Parts: sequence; C-alpha cells; structure tokens
Amino acid sequence: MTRIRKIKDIFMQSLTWVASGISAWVLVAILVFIFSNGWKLLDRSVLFGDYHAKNIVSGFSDEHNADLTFTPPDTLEDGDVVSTRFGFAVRDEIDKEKNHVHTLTWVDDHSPLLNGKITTAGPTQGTPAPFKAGMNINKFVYLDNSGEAITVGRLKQQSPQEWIPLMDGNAKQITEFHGKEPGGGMRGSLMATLILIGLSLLFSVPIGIFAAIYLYAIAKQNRLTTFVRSSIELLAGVPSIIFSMMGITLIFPIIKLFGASGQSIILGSLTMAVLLLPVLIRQTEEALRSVPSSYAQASLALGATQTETLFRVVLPSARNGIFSACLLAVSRIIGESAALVFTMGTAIQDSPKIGSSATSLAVQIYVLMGGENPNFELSSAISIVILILVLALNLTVKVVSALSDKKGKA
Amino acid sequence: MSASKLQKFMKRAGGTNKKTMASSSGSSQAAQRENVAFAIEDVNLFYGDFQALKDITLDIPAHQVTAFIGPSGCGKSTLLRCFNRMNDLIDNCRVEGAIYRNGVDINGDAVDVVDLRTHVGMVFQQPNPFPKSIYDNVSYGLVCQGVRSKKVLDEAVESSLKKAALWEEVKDHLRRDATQLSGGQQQRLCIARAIALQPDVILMDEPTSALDPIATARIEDLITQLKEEYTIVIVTHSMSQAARISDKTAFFLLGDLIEFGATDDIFQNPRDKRTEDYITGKFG
Ligand SMILES: Nc1ncnc2c1ncn2[C@@H]1O[C@H](COP(=O)(O)OP(=O)(O)OP(=O)(O)O)[C@@H](O)[C@H]1O
Ligand SMILES: [Mg+2]
Repeated sequence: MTRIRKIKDIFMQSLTWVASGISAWVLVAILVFIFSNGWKLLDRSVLFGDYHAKNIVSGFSDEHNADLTFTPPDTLEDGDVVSTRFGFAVRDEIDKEKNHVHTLTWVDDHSPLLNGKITTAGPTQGTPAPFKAGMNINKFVYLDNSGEAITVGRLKQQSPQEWIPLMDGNAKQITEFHGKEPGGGMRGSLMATLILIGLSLLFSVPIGIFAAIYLYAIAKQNRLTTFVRSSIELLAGVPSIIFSMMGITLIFPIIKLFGASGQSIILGSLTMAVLLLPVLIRQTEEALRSVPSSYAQASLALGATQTETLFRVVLPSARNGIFSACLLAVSRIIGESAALVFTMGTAIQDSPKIGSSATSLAVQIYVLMGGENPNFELSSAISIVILILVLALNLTVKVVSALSDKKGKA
Repeated sequence: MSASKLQKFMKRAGGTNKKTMASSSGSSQAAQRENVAFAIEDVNLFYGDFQALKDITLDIPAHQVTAFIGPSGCGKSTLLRCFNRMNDLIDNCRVEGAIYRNGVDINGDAVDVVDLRTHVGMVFQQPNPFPKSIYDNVSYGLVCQGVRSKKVLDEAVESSLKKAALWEEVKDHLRRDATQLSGGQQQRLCIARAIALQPDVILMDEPTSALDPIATARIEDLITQLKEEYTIVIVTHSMSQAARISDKTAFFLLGDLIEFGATDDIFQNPRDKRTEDYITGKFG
C-alpha cells in the first residue's frame, strides 16, 4: 500500500515537473529566437525609418576641385572603402530586406555628394538631395578626363573595392548618382498603431464607462439586466476574427455614409472599440463595485444626488481600476491582428492616414511573414518592440494596483 | 423598463428644490410644537415581509441629545435611517405612518430628499471619510450644493473643523489625504463634514464603537458641546455613554418602543421590567 502511494506520489510530482519544465523551455525558446533574430537589426532606422525604400536619382552640375583630398574619421570599421577624392565611405552589406547593398557609412561635411539635386521629372525635381550616411548607392556616372561618361557601382556588379579606386582615379566630375533610401522601418506601423490606440480608446472608453455605470447604478436587477450581463460575458469570449467580419458587414456600411471608402484605420478602430467594449465594461463595473458602499452612503447622507455621488465619489475612487482596464485594452490593441486584417487592411504605409488602409505593428508582422520570403529578422525586431510595449503596460498595471492596494489599507 | 433608481432620485431632487414646507393636512399638534425636531406617529417599517419597526410613536426633542438603546437587531439603526430617509436606498424597504419635521411629513411626495439630508446630517458607525483631502471632505456637501466661492468654503471648513474639535490638529495640512488620519480624527472629520452643511439635526449610529476610550471621550465631549446648536440622535450600545451624554433615552426591543423618557428616569426608575433587565445587563 505505502509502496504504491509512494510511486504514485513520485509519478505525479514528476508530471508537474515535466509540465512546468516544458512550458518554461518553450517560453524561453521563443524569447531567445525573437531576440537573436531581431536584436541586431533593432536600431534607429528600423524604429523610425520608412518601410518602403525610396529611389533617388540626382545630378551634379559643378566641377569638383581635383586637388582636394578628404581624410576619413577614425570611427570607420573594416570593410569600409573610402573615397578620399569625394569624401565618403561605402561598405558592402546585406540589408533588412536581405539584398546586397552598398551603404554609405561616412560622408564628409564638404563632400560634393551633399550638393546633389533630384533630376527625376516631377514636383520634386531640382530640390536638394544630400546623400547622407545610411543611404545605399546603386551606381555613379562620372565624366573622365576625355569627357566620356562612365558608369560604376553595384549595378555594374562591381564591389566597392573595385569601383571606388576607379572613380577616385579617373573622375573629373560626378554627373549622376543613383541611390536608395533604405526601407524596412516600422515608423509607419508604429504611427498607425498609436492612431489606432487613440481612436479605439476614444470610442470605447466613454461608452464602456457609461455602460458600466448603468449596470452598476441604474439597471434594475431583472431579466433584461441579467441578459445584458450574460451577453457581455459571451461577447468577451468571441474570437476576434468574428469581430473583423462584423466590422466589414456592420460597421463599414455605417461609416460609408460618412464617405469612407474601404479598409481604413477608422474602420479598424471602430471594430477594435467594439471588441474591447465587453472587457472594458466588465472591468470598469468591477472597479466600481470594489468602491466601499460606505463612500456612497456618506455622500448621499450629505445631500448629494445619486449622480453627484457617482461622479464625485464612486468614479474617482474607482479610477485606478478603470485606468488599469484601459491599459490592458491598449495592450490588447497592440497585440491584435485578426480583427484588423480585414478592417484596417494589410498595406504597409509610411505615412498612415485615418481614412485609408494601414498596418499596425502586429499586422505588419503578419504581412512580412506571409510573403514568399518570410522576413524573420524584421518581424522579430517588431516583435521585440511589441513585447517591450506590452511588458511596460502590464508592469504599469501592476504598479497602479499595488499603489491602490496600499492606499486602501492605509 | 420602469423608472430606475436614479430617475427616482432625480425626480425627487429636481422636483422641489426650495423648501416646500406647506403644512400637510395630517400634521398633528405635537408636530408643530417648537421644541420637537421629529414627531414620529405610528411608524411601521417593513423589509420585504419582515416588520422591523412596530407602531413607533415618539417625539424627538430639539436641541437635546436623544439616545436609542436596545439589543442588537431591535431596529435602532432602522429608525435612525428614517429621519434622513436613508432607507430609501434599501430596495425592499417600505415605511408606513408619518414622521413630521417642522409640520411636514418627510415621507410626503412634496419633500425633497436631497434637501432633507442637508438639514439632517448623519455620522456612521465606521468612520467613512472620502479618499480625498481633509478640505475636500469637509467642503463636499457645500460643493454639491453649488457653492464655488473659495472664501465661503474656506470659512465653512475652518468653522466646521473648529466645532468638531479637529481644527488644531489638522489646520496645517488640510490638503492631506483624510484616510491617513487616526480613527478618532476620522470620526470627528465626519462630524465636521456633516456640520459644514449647517444642519438642524445630526444622527449618529454608534459613532464611537470603532474607537478607543480616549477618542470616545473626545467625541462624547464634542456631542455635549454640539447639542447647544443641534438636535442629536445617537444610537449606542454603551449604557454608560447613554447615561453620560443623553437627555432623553428610548429603549427598543424587537421593533417595539418599550419605554421613552428622560435619561435619568429611564436609568434610575425604569417603568418597564424589560428596560430594567436590559440596562442592568440581564439580557442583550
Ligand atoms: N437591509 C435590510 N434588509 C432586511 N432586513 C434588514 C435590513 N436591515 C436591517 N434588517 C433587519 O431589521 C432588524 C433591525 O435592524 P437594525 O439594523 O435596525 O438593528 P439595530 O438595532 O441597529 O441593531 P444593531 O445594534 O446590531 O446595530 C434586524 O432584524 C435586521 O435583520
Ligand atoms: Mg445598528
């Protein structure tokens, strides 16, 4: 008997060990994967740069003084090839979208590269386009001593070690520069996410709070109220892809009346607002209920009306709980993708507009991973940003509730 | 859906903002006497089917301290809550009979309950300051009434805190969170908060039961001072407290008013056997 119990005991114990071991391992593995893939990519240009690369073709009219030589700074690394004649350095590398590029790593303050003007026909023609560190060089066209136009650069399958000495030695004047402002940034999605958060909260928080107040203070305990309550419970558990469908079928026709044309941030925000409502209502009502009834009694006994009591005493006392509910809503918005792909769309934008399609950070990952060549690195970099944001929000919620607990006990 | 709680309140609050003290037809002789704060006539109170008060008739004298005593569950708090209609907040509570204040039945339709409560203040068993500053606590009632002048509020806060014997202790940190005060200070703050509205009556439901003897003594002193200006009705479980501070005592048992009279009479020559048993500690 004791033997069997002992074996049972050991068996159950090892089961719990294995289970917790597996879950810990999986979580750590995910984090290691994300950080190892994304961390090296995560810099200013990824955080605040455009997603779409911009091609630039510019020309130079003035002749460069051949006697001038530039000295490169000490900060250059191995692999940076320097043009002492024109004052820049270039390195051969792989960009965020996994292409071979020649990236400018240094441009001297007096380099002629800063004097370029856009030559492509269009409204920007003639505007200055200085070439700064970080841009990619596709090709240069220069005139040699005999006045012949020569093309060098990556598009000629030349390495920097080949074409820079060639240009330094033979160029009389650079006439054309074909460059690219590299893309792969998340600024657009970051902005779209912020707009989405702002708009979703703008729609859902006031409605959520007033609905919670209704349920808390005004609704009678009857069948209807019970029905409303259980509907809210039920809605909180509905998968978000269904809210996405609802967004298209129910909300879109409404905002179409106001001139919206299709998938847009506003449609995404309204859908998110509906999705967030059940949880917001539930948590706000909970926060209201946790306010001691003695506060309300004191207020009423002092000749305050029910409304004054609600808005002057109960609501302020519940504000930490409501604030936490909003923060959790924000982290839900940051992490949501299914509810947004149909409603907000999957077109990554560098300058998102409320009335047109854009991607949130999470949807940008969805897009990046969905193509023929899934971009793990950039997706991981975005994931890190998402993780950090969500972690910060959760920590804030913890701190807020710890603070209000402390206050409650005092 | 039928009229909600809030709507009911709003109607009462909005309907009659000025004191509509037109004498109602049912008002009795007693009700109009000068020195009576509340004239209670044949009050029966039900929580659903349960009758908590049975045929209560009694006059609460003005500018005196009236103590309600009796064993737990006999209906003291229930009757106290009738005076400022806090029973309205209890869903299944029903009051029959009349309670006259200045000749008007306070349960009548013409009476504005919000207005009533500014004239009849209440102090609860557990000190319940709002989680706001001391200043905001005391000025709360006035602010709700629409007083915005800082000068008026400052003066009201100072004089109320002085009357509640708390001013000296808190005058330098009026912006401090009231919940950080000691229990006794909190209870005096709650008294100050009620006084700030310049009520006629202050109802106190076991105001010292959560306090230590020193804080209790201070509140008792305060009550004796306050009766100059206010009518005080106090529920207490302490016989000695009732004997020390009250002028009149009412003894309740299972919803019945057993005996009501001058405190000295009740404690020295109780007419009813049950009163005697209770005050001598034979039951309760
Ligand atoms: N909200 C309520 N709903 C139903 N019954 C109630 C309610 N409040 C009080 N009662 C009942 O009414 C009776 C009187 O209650 P009350 O609180 O007035 O007693 P009390 O004399 O103040 O007692 P204590 O000294 O313990 O405070 C009790 O039997 C109680 O159970
Ligand atoms: Mg009681």
